[in-house]
Formats: sequence, C-alpha cells, structure tokens
Amino acid sequence: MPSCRKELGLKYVLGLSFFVVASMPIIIFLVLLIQSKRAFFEVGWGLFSTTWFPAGQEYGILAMLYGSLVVVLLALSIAVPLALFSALALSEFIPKSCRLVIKSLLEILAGIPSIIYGLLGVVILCPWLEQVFDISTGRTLFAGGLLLALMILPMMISLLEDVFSQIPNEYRDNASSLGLNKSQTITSLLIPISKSHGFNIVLLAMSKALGETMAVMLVIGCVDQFPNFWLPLSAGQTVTSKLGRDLGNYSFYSIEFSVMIAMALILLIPTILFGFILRNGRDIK
Amino acid sequence: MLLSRFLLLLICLFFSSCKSPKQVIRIAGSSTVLPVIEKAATAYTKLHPHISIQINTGGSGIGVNQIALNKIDIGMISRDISQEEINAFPQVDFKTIIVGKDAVVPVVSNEIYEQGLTEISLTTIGQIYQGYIKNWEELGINNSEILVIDKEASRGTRQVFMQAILGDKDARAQGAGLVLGHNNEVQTAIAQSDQAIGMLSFAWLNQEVKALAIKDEQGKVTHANLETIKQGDFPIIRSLGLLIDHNKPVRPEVADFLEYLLSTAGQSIVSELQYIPVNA
Repeated sequence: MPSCRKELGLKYVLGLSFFVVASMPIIIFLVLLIQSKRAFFEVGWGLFSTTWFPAGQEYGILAMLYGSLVVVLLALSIAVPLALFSALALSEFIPKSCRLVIKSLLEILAGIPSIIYGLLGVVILCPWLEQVFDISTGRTLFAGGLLLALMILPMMISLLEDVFSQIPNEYRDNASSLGLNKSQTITSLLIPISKSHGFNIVLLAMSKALGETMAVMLVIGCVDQFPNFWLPLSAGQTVTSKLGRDLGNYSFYSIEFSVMIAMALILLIPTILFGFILRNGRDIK
Repeated sequence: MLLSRFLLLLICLFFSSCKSPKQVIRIAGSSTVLPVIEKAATAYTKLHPHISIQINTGGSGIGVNQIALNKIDIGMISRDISQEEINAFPQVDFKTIIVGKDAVVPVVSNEIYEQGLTEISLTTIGQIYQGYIKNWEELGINNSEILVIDKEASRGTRQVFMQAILGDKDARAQGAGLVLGHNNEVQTAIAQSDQAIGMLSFAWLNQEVKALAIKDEQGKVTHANLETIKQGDFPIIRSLGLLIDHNKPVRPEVADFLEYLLSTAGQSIVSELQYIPVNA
C-alpha cells in the first residue's frame, strides 16, 4: 500500500514539474503577443521601414532585424568551418592524452560571461579593427560577428567532437580495410553520418547567437540606421542590443515599448521554427 | 526525519534574515548626476548607518519613468522635464529639486585639439552632427573622417546639447557614427579615438578629452570653466535635478537625504566633483 502512494506522489511531482516547465514558453509567447498587439495594430506595416525615430512617430525596425541577421550569418560563416575542422582534428588526429586538457579548456571558454567578451571586444578587438581596416571606429557589425563567432565556437567544437567520437571505431576500421585513407574516411564516412546531428548543433549555435545581448551591445555601435555600402565595416544595431540599451527608457504601455516587444517577437520566430526542425531531425543509426 | 528537520532550520534562518533593520532609499536616473549622489550617499550612510541607499543609472529618461511608476524614491535628471512626460503621467506631480549646475561641452580627441581646433561655433557642431561636414579637413585639420559620437535619445545630456546646437531636443543626428549611453562610455570612446567629437558633461573632462570653446556669431569665444558656468556665460548649461512625486507622501529619510544634499556638506561634494553648487 505505501509503495502505491509513493508512486502516485512521484507521478504528481513529476507531472507538476513538467507542467510548469512546459507552460513557460507558452506563457512567454502569449505575454509577448499581448504586449506587442499595440505595435501591430497602430504601426502596422510602418514597422518594416528603415527609420527609427520615435520623436517623429517613426518606428521602423528593419535596421535592427537586418543587423541581427548580418551579425549571425557572419558569426556562423566564421565559426562553422572552424568548429568542424577543430572537432575533426580533436577526434581524429590529436592524441587522446591531450584531448581531456583541450576539452576542459573549451568548457572554461564556454563558461566565460558574455560581458567579459564584450569588454574584451571594446578594449582589444575594436581598436585592432580600426588599425587593420583603417576605419574611424572599430565598433561595427563586423566586430559583432567576430565576437559572436568567438562565443559560439567552444560549444560547437565540444558538441561536434562528441558526435565524431561517438561514431564506433569499427566503422573507421572497416573503411581502412576497404583501402580508404584518413581524409577519405572523413569525407565519405564520418561527415555524412554526422550530418543531421551537425545540423542540429549549427541551429543551436544560431539560436544562441541570435539571443546574445551584452557582448554585441558593447561593440556594435548602436546606430539605428541601415548600414552604408561597406556593410559589415560600419556601425549598426541588432534587436538584442536595441532592447538592452533602450527598453528601460520607455514606459510600460507606451507605443515604443510595444514596438520593442514586437521586435523581440519577430526575433523569436526563427528560434521557434528551428525548434520544430530540430525535433524532426533523425538520430545516428 | 533528518531531512525535514534540516528544512525547518533553513526556513527559520531564511525568515530571520528577512527582517532587515535598514530603511532603503532607491535612486535611479541620469549618469551625470550619479557621481554626486554616489559620493553623498557614502557620506550620508556613514552618518546614518540604519539607512541604505540603492543607486542605479540608466539616463534621465529612466529617472522620470521609474518615479512615475513608483519604483524609486528619487529620480536623477540632468535636463528639464518635458511637457510630454508631464502629460504621459497625469497621476504624478513631478517636483524637481536642483542640487547643482553643469555644462555640456563639445569634446574632441586629443589629437584634433593639438592640431589647432580649440574653438567651434554651435552652428558648425550642428552641421557636423547632421552629416553635412564629414571630414576634419573641412575645418582646417588633417584629412580624416570625423567620428561623430552621439548619445541615446533619452539621455539628458543629449537633449540639452541638441537643443543648443539644433534647436530641437529630439533632433536626429544623421551624421552619427556611434551611439553611446553613459558619460563614461563617451569619455572612453573619445580617448580611444584620434578623430572623434562628442558631447560630455563638464565634470567628466580629463586629460584625454579636450573641451572646445564655443564661438558665437560675433566671434566672442567662451571657454568652459567654473566661472563662465556660474555666471551663465557658457551657452550650454543645465541643472542637476532630483525628481520626487509630490502626490505621494515623502518619507522622512528621503526628505532628510535631500536636505543633506542642499546643505553645506552636500554642496561641497558637488563642487569637489567639478559641478557648480547652487547654494554657493
């Protein structure tokens, strides 16, 4: 009898925890939707203009959405190849004795708070960019992209390396017995097998990069306009940086506040989409 | 059994630590007024150890908003409160207590100052901020792009500056190359660059950021120093204000702290920090 009660109690506790956790994203989404209602109804298509000037009743958020897109694409285009090669190096070439040290270093890097990355960006990265490209300020979309790449690299390398080392050694032995050398093993065997997992890791990194606020805020330049021709080398603005800087300046039910929430909601859409795609990804056979 | 006793102990400890004997004064707002309040708070809490003062920055806009939402007791503001803000919060009766005066000065990087640009007219600054003048050589210096440093639109310093150079406190600065927040950030950015111009509170000047004198239409040049600000000769002056909501009862410790700021001790802190005291 007592064990039956315990089991029921356990079921309730687990069920309650699950309910709380599962309802969080739904509640967040609903709150964002309600708060942004005013923006969508009163500003409407005006949201998709490139001019942000609240004093003149212009609430165009396109510059921020564009900035977020550029910065994330830049970060991924740098980080994905680097992470892939590093992970392959770690799992296939680097001796096992070093692997533990390197993985621990990666964990440390992944745990550094983002504000530290931001400060390093302001003090080291931006002045360096000013020198190398001879521009007036290093606080640019490019700096944001570089910094984001640096931030998502440790996590990506670590996860990708896990994927590669989980592929059984028998596969590699079979490949070499068929006459494949190391690089052929990698390109014709390892990479195709880990494609779906690798894709999931890239999506995870993309979500993390989209949501990064502190580091980007300090190095992006925060200029609410569409960048000029030399796209990444000019100052810009991202959704998260705008929210971080300006959300507290607007009172709760004002139109500007509502537009900011609408911006956050639009940013959330890719993350939600990727969540669905992730769930439909296949496991390693 | 042991676990439940342990939990009980934790709960008792938690509730006993909840009883905080300190009374709290919450202050937030302008980063220009911040140094005065921080220093005064340290001195004040030494005299009154049962009072704790929590200070946040965020800009004059935050000061107004948080007072209106009753999240803080005193708001710091480095500009006048606007009619829109008064209209936006009809239930609040904003009262400003002025504790000092300050000037907003145009500042340039050291290198620009040393090459001979030591004075400028308000109209020229306006043209630079609107993007009509893009290069330092148009002003007689070497050939380098002007890095125009702007501030967030809700900052008091910016609104005062824009009112003076463009006649509109909410003016757009199309020529802006960077938008920063805190006075501190502007100071760092100007010092780091060798081709920058920006706006800074007078008290935040140091060796690495050089203030330009203002030249008016008649050619008269006014430097920014304590005398010109006190006499009101310098064209860009603003008051350091503290906001309270007069519709709500003011707690005695809040009123006492405000009185301290206006007393000799408080005003001496103001002048120590290179602002102009009001009761001098």
